[in-house]
Amino acid sequence: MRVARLALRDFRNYQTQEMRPGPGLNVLVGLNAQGKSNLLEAIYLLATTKSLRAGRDTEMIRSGAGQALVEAEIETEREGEVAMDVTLTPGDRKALRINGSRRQRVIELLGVLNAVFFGAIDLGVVCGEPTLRRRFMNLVISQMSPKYCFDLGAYKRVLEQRRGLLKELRDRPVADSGLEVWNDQLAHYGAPVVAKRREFAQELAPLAAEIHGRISGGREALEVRYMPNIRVADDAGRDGIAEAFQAQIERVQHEEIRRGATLVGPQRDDLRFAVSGSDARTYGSQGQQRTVVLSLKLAEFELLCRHVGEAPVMLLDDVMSDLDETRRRHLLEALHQRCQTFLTCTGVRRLPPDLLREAHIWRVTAGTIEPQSLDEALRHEADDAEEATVP
Amino acid sequence: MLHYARPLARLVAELEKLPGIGPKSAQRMAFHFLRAPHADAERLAQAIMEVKEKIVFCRECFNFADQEVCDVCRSPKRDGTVICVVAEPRDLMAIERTAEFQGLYHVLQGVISPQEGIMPDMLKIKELLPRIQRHNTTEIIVATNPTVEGEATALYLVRLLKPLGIKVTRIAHGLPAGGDLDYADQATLISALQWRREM
Ligand SMILES: Nc1ncnc2c1ncn2[C@@H]1O[C@H](COP(=O)(O)OP(=O)(O)OP(=O)(O)O)[C@@H](O)[C@H]1O
Ligand SMILES: [Mg+2]
Ligand SMILES: [Zn+2]
Repeated sequence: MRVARLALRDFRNYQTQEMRPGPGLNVLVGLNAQGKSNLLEAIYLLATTKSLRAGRDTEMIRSGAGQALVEAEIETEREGEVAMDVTLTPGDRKALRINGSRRQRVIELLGVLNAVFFGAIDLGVVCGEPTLRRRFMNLVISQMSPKYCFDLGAYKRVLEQRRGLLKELRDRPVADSGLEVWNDQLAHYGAPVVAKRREFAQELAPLAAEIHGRISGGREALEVRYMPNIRVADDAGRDGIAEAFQAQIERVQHEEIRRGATLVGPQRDDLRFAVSGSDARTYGSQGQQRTVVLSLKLAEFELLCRHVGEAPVMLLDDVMSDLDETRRRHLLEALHQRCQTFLTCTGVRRLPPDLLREAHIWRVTAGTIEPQSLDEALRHEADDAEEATVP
Repeated sequence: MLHYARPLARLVAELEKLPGIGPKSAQRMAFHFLRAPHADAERLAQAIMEVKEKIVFCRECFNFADQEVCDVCRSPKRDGTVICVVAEPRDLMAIERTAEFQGLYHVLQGVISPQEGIMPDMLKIKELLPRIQRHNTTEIIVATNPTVEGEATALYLVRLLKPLGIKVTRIAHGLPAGGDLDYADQATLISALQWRREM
């Protein structure tokens, strides 16, 4: 699938801007703070309903403007052309239209456009806190399964309600609190979340291992493991998981009331990455960790290809400067002629020349996007370099 | 800064407090009353006062009523062996408009929501038990919303009533009748699939 047209109005630092990206590699080149990542974020928003940055959705509305609009024409093999747009209004409300018709919930856009984002924050998936790994799982699985997204939403809602109840119980005894009902609900919505994550990890692991083996020239073996907080047998079905969940809730009930929080469940899940047997998070070198992230991202790409039946759009934010020659080559070659790619950078010189010649190059300057030829881009960069060396 | 004359400002301020009304709509409504005939404004003011003075909760089912017992509960045609439990009077009205249900209702006046401090004992749940006995009720239909809170309330009723040997049913949630499958939103389709029935 690919983005055939993208139009922005009052999105981040863009006033009104329209572009028709090419089907293959699109290089977005420009100095810092010009709007390159913002453009990736617009596409990411259409794929996931989410912003790339932490913070509130309204921050994506251009300062001073009343609302923001992101509009796109998507070309898919399955459904042909699909027009979609998302309007952001103050109060964190999002409105969605698909082929001109209003959809009740913005979540309905999931599955229309699939995208894989790869940027600096992804290093956190390997090195950072468990929340980042859960976020990684949630974002990928949601794109493949809207049901997961609904279950997760309901699960979070139950968690909030249950927290309210546990706090109440901590402060005063309630004769008939209905806690069992919330336990049931927790297990009911939590079990499919656990089941889906397990399935996801089982599919991702061999893909990531194979890619990692290739990148490291067969010297390292990557193992990806799902670490569910609810301990279940590997072959336990959804009911089995729900039962195990219930049993574990009962075991910690007193402690939960004392602490006023739900202590077991998928909100405490994690993923573990081991390189040749040792934990990449604690023992991996920086280079190893980068290779793991790259392998994960490429595995995510393959997984989406397999589930969706066509290649997702790749969004590569400033990753070239973080990767060495070999890894850069692996990344671009793995994607070459397989998908539409948007790649941001501050200069085109570090990109392989043969790929550059086929690419569409876009110069991003203070919220404007203009097509540029390779020669122009190179000349531009020479000028920049000269300016930079002027004392 | 310029302000509206005090009575007008007061009306705008009062209207703004209404649910779903923002400053702009409040202003529009205030100007509307300013222009409207005197009698129109008086009728509205009276209607509001009358609601406050005359509407009470039915002592049986906790629906709105203008007497101690509401129209539904007073009707000899209604069958008390089936009671439909709803969260709010407006849900009762919605079902009543279908003219398909001949049983009685029971309005809980809310759903369980610990986050907002609403515990089961704050709803009209215990009041349901004597009614079940009196009417020899054999089936309770739970018609709360298909939200996490509505579902929790339904489950609570199941846990309470099942041991008493009462059949508890839940209204189905799924596709709108006469609608197109490909127009249904994902949440509805997913739940329709989940609650499919054997034919
Ligand atoms: N809501 C907004 N309204 C106006 N401008 C915004 C808004 N949000 C972000 N910006 C501006 O967008 C710019 C950042 O754009 P972006 O992150 O896309 O830069 P970039 O081109 O990716 O730069 P870098 O190379 O440093 O990553 C900043 O100047 C920021 O002030
Ligand atoms: Mg950037
Ligand atoms: Zn009544």
